[in-house]
Amino acid sequence: MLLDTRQSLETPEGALLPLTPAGFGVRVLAQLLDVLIRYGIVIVIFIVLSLLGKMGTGIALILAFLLEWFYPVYFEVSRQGRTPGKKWMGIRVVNDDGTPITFGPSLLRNLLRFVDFLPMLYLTGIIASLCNRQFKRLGDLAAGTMVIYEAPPAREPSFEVRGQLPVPADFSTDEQRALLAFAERSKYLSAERQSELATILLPVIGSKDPVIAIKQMANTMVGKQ
Amino acid sequence: MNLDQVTIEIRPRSAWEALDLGLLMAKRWWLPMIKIWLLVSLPFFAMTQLLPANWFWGGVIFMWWLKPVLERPLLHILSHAVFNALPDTRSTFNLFPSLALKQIFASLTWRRLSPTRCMDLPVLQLEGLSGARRQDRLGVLHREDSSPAIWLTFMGFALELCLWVGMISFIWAFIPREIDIEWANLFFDQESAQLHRLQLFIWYCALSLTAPFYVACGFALYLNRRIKLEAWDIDIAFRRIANKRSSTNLLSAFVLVLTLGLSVFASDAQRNVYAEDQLPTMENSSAAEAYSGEAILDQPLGEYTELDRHQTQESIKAVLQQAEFSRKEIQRTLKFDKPEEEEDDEAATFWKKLFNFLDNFEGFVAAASLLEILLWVGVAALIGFVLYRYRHWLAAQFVRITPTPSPKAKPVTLFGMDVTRESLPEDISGNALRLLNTGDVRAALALLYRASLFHMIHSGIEIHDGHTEQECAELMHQHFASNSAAQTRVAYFAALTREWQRLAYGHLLPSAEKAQHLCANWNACWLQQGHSTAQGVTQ
Repeated sequence: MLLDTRQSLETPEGALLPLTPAGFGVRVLAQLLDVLIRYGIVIVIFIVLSLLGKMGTGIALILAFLLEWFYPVYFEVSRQGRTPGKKWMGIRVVNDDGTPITFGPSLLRNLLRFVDFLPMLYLTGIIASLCNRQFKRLGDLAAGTMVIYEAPPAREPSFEVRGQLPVPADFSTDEQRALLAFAERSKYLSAERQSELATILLPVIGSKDPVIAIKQMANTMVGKQ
Repeated sequence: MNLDQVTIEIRPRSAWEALDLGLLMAKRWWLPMIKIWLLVSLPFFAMTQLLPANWFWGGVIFMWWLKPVLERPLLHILSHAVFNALPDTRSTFNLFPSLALKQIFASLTWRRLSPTRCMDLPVLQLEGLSGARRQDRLGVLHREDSSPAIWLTFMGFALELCLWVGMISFIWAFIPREIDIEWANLFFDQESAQLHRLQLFIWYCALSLTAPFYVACGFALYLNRRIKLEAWDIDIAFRRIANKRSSTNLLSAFVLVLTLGLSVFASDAQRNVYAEDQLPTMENSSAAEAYSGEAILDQPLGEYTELDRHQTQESIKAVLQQAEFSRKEIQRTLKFDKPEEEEDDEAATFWKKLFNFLDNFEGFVAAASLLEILLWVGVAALIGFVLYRYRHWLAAQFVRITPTPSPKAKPVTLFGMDVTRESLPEDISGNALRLLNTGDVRAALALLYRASLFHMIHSGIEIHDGHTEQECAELMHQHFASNSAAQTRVAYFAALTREWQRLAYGHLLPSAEKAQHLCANWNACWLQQGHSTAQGVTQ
């Protein structure tokens, strides 16, 4: 079996739902940002409420406690699994079956954050995440959640070639997809590499300029002129 | 390199996702990697153990400093394993000296602290580039997706420290309480040689645990960058398309006689033959020979052609100087001959002199105070003007005035009859009697009734067109209910209303006596008894 970061969930309808679990690297950065935001708020709270004397300090401590434990829960539940840090890094928390996370699992995974943090800097969590394929830390394992990458938004295709050419009828869906991928990514490839790749298909397409021919086929597929 | 034999899914990934692929790779080939790591690094660790106890930090730094060299065989294993040619430990170990000595000096001195070390190592080791070519290549690779490599280096270092502290704390947690050992002393005690040896050993364990992951993640980043730059996945897909078509052409003769299952098998066989014929394969057994030549990874895909830097610069310049890329404009402006600074100086001295002169001139002081007064007056006037100009707006904003209900206009006609002051004669009774004597009873009663209505309106009774005669009498009664002096007037009006209704609607003439009585008494009833009513009339 090929090694891949993407994993497909099969829905009851038999459709495959590709999900990409996120490893500790991107999650550490997201957490770092969240910690910075949280402590920024806590510092402001303490400065403001210390003006009220001892009672102010007491209120500030309670607020800091709530912020520490419920900041991630609040954002995960109300923002579809994205805390500000996660949103920044393009990741989100979902249930194991890919559905949006709800209050219970979110609370559980964030309460167990404490265990994953031990003995310092999430060492337990990192080791745990390396021991399973979905990169789950202990909190995720207990709550039945995982962190996945968000699919980047689709862009309107532009292949910088005019005209259409019919796609050969015997091309399967995957093969058509390869043609489309070539056209879409050709702007990141050098001209030499483009013609090198397109020449592979020369016996199949049989055109003078296979690069342009493939792009014109792609135009046909996406309905561009 | 044979892309048909890859053991990882080839597709363009985001940089962080590539890093995760590195984690998976490290897990998959953990055992061969850790084996070769231990084989290679244990001698150096043994050397640190021979150091005197007070050289403890020297040992720690020595092990850490050697990492770039010790990581190279790990990359060798990974780079072959990815193409399904996992080398055995022995051959890799035999290769280690040649791998390690490649640009060893640069790697251990100025490049040692490079944060993108993990991503750069494949360029040196697999592509075999050095000097300016290596720099150019790195420039291309780092153009995107290199920031995770930097983060990875810092995270890896933090992880090593965490593991070190964590493992020492873990051991400490199992020591019974009776043996009094302070946790902090485990890290800051300078005395105990045994403790130092233990610390060094744990440090070595931490390095061993992280090294495979670090190398694999760096390699995955490098690989992902090349997959993106050279579109490996498209290459694979296109080759598959071409192979399928060519093999089906060859097989078309057999399709008639072979079953479907057999044809599938045959096409597979064909593909394999093609693959071995057409694509250069990586030789498992003689990896060393492969390394002595060109870079393995570079053979079929995108030969690295070297461009002469100066030549390229020249041609770029030549292109940029063409008319399409430039536009010449000539702008003409007028300028004073004098340098500007002098002018400024002169102007400054002029103002200084002027102010000095004015300070000394007494009349100017008086003029100034006058001017000041004028200015203040002007300001006050301006404020006043603004206030006046916007008084309505201001009043609406700040003063809430309940609007005085404008007095309702008294009706001019009621029931089709004129009830204005002008339409009535001075002496109502006299006129009515005169009309009565001429025999016009209707006109006489109409005059009486109109005059009564007029007086009622002006004594504050609100009568409008919709009221019936009876309602008017009712209103009259209510209005003067508390006023006993006006009761005769109320009674008079009730009698008048009755007679007027009988006449107007029933055409029944009142008796002469009654009519006479009403006409004669009007003045007495309406004018004499109510002073206010009299006023209302005269107004």
